[in-house]
Amino acid sequence: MKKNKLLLIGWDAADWKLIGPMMARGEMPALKSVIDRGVYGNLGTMNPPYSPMLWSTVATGKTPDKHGVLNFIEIAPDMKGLRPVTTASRNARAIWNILHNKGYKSNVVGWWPSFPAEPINGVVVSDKFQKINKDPKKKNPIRPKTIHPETMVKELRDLRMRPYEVTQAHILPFFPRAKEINQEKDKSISTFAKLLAENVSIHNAATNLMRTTEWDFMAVYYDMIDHFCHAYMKYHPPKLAGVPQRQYDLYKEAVTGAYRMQDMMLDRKLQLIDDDTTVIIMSDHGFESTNKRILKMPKYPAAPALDHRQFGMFVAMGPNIKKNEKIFGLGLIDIAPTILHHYNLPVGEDMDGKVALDIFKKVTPPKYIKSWEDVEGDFGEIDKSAKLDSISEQETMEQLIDLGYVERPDEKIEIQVLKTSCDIKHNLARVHLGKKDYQTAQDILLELITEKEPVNVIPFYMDLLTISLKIGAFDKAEEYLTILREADDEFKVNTHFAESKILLSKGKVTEALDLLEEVKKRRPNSELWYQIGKIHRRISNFEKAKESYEMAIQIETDRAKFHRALAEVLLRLGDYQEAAETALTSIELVKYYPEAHYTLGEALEKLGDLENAKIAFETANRLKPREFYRAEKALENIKDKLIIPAELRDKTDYKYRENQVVVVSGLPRSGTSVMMQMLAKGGLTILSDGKREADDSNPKGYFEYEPVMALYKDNKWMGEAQNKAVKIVAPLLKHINPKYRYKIIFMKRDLSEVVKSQQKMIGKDVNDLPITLLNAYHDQLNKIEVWKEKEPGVELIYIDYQEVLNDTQAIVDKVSSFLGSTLDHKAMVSAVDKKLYRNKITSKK
Amino acid sequence: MSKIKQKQNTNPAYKITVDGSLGLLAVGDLGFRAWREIKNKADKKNMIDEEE
Repeated sequence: MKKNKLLLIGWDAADWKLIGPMMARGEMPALKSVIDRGVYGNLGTMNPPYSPMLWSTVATGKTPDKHGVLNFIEIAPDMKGLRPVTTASRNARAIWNILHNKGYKSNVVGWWPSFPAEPINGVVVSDKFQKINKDPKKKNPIRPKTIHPETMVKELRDLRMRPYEVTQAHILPFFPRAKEINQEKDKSISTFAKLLAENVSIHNAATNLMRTTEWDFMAVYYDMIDHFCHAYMKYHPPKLAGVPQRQYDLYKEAVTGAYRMQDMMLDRKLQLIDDDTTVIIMSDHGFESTNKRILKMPKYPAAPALDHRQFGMFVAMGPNIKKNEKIFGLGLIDIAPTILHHYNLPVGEDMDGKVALDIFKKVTPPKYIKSWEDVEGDFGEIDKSAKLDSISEQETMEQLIDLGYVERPDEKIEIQVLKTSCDIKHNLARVHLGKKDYQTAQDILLELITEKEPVNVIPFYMDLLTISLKIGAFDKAEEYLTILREADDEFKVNTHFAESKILLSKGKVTEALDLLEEVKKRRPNSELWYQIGKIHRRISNFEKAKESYEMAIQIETDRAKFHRALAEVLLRLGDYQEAAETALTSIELVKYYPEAHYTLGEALEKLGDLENAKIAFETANRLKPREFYRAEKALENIKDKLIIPAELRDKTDYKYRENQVVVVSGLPRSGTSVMMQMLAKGGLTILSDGKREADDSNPKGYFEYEPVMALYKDNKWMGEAQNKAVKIVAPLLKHINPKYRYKIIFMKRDLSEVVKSQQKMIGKDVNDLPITLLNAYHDQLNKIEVWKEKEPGVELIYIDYQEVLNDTQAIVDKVSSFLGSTLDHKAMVSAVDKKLYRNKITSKK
Repeated sequence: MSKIKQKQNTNPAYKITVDGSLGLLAVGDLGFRAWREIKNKADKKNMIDEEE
């Protein structure tokens, strides 16, 4: 048996929102068993979320503008007809082409698109295999190029299930009340039979190849969940207000039925692999299942994709895959590079995805190649000049028409070709829009709006409006909005975001806010709360912005931009810890989100964690496709801060506070014991248990109090320290009891001296300075600086150890003034034994 | 050396009915062919011949 095999299973539109509760109820045991043995997480999709484009991205690791699959249908090369999109549209090499070149064997089953079957080393059962005419009287021969090699046709041809073979035993688990459905009027059962039969055919071919062939890579694609969702999601619980009770009762179990069936099929495939096989199960996008489901789909091509959600699902298990761990920030564009890396093959630098290194137990650095497209040799590709049928692909076309992806071609062929050509250009523009290449997208759209009837130019204007708002061309945006509203009254009610942005551009903040508040009363949703939050943020109304963002998150928890916006507002409100955590949540949802990394960097900087802030700013800068000036500048600042010591500022009114607790703090070996001696001599009562005795390092004693060591779990005793002095080491300061007022004398000393002194104390070489420890202490000082500012009960002064030795009198005066109490200055000065210090330095040398 | 975990149905009591089941379909090619054989015998009609 060969090692390092990988099985890639595509479940179109599978969504954690459905899978999570089903797994909890024990309804998807096979998937659960994979998760228990592997990793799982969200998989970010791309725009527009149209399946043939997305699955081609999965296969190539490239965006659709590069791989060329831009629609559900394509124009035949002779420009005389249309056909479901084919392999001929794909301009980039798929994983299996690269594996073919490198001598691996692949089986590809049902991939969308995969017809005509590519002549690779292995077997391709293309997406035409499962298409069967609904009419039992019609024959369904397997056409040439449906399967590669043709010799496999004989083995596989009887594995196609016909829709009319579906029995009540198959129907009832999905529709327990199927007998009540009038099949003359209601085509639901007929639709179901077709979808089930097609997916069973794919599964039959896949299981056959898994059993009977040698393979290194196998990819199987199922559209069952997606097509069931398009047909029946509106009936899925909870019942939507607009759905009739009877329909709901008849069809409410169809969607979960599809998930269950898919899980049963997975179980079988897991039986057919060995322990050395890596398995990836993924979907290209999710599917809306909440109250945002659309009951009445707008009438334009590909409108059904409006129900697609931003996140698909990802699960993987295998010998080198981590176990039972959640993975964050994956995108479907990362699948191909990750699979190439699995086979120890280089990733094309022209691929848009990255290797998902997080999923691997043993991580090896990815290898790169400029482009696989430039490599000469046999890649098992089709001859693109070969003639293919056009609109005769009636079965496939019918399904796309049934699903609402394609309009029924009842017009002249020239018009159909023109409209399809416009759809393809429009999709290309939307890909560029998704990549934030607004100029290219705009150029294409401006060309498209010059088209005349029967081409519908409204969708082009909608995207031009979006782009104008994105680039701040508000005059143009207003112009496009007017055109849209004149063209269709519908745009008077559903363009409030655009209108509010235009109002904001004119400085009409109140009007913009009022507009959105009014809409919120009628149709509250997460995006509306988010936009309202943005307006509050704009006018520095941070509390209101925070509330609005929190509401948006409450409605929709997995939108990265909501969490990022909330994190940024929390920063402005001074809640740095929460801001950092919220920014991290955003990054967990979408890893390639430079703004979220930037906000995380800001929060960490405020928290004094400069090292990690630096990493966050560097990540933000690296991820931004163009210059990210703010991240660049922030990075420069952080680097400066890491070189130049933090600016330490005193915080005090030099006033005595009743029952104040005097704290002497600092890093270990920074002179805290000397200060404790001074205070003791000066007449202040010391809270110490004397358990740690004087030694060579501190000949006059440590002045420590044991409960301080456990301050992080118990700080109730701190009342005992009122009107006394207690020594608390710097990292524990944040645990002090906020019930009391504190006067903190923070000892500072050159950090390299501190570390040298510590090294000597524990018997290590003083010349061997651990840099990580130095950096950690540096961070510690920054954190103290931030912490003291936000603690209202804390006053703090910094005392330089060197100055204690060189200018003792001035230090005594400063400390006395800070504490605001009468101390014996002369006695305090006498407590400092300069000779002792100098001896230590000499002995160190 | 790992072994393929093929789990064939070895339960002699398992009876494939003409109506079939989703479980049988989930088994894939082997389940499908076994079911179709039973079904075709009952229908006295060979689906494969239809394709020739």
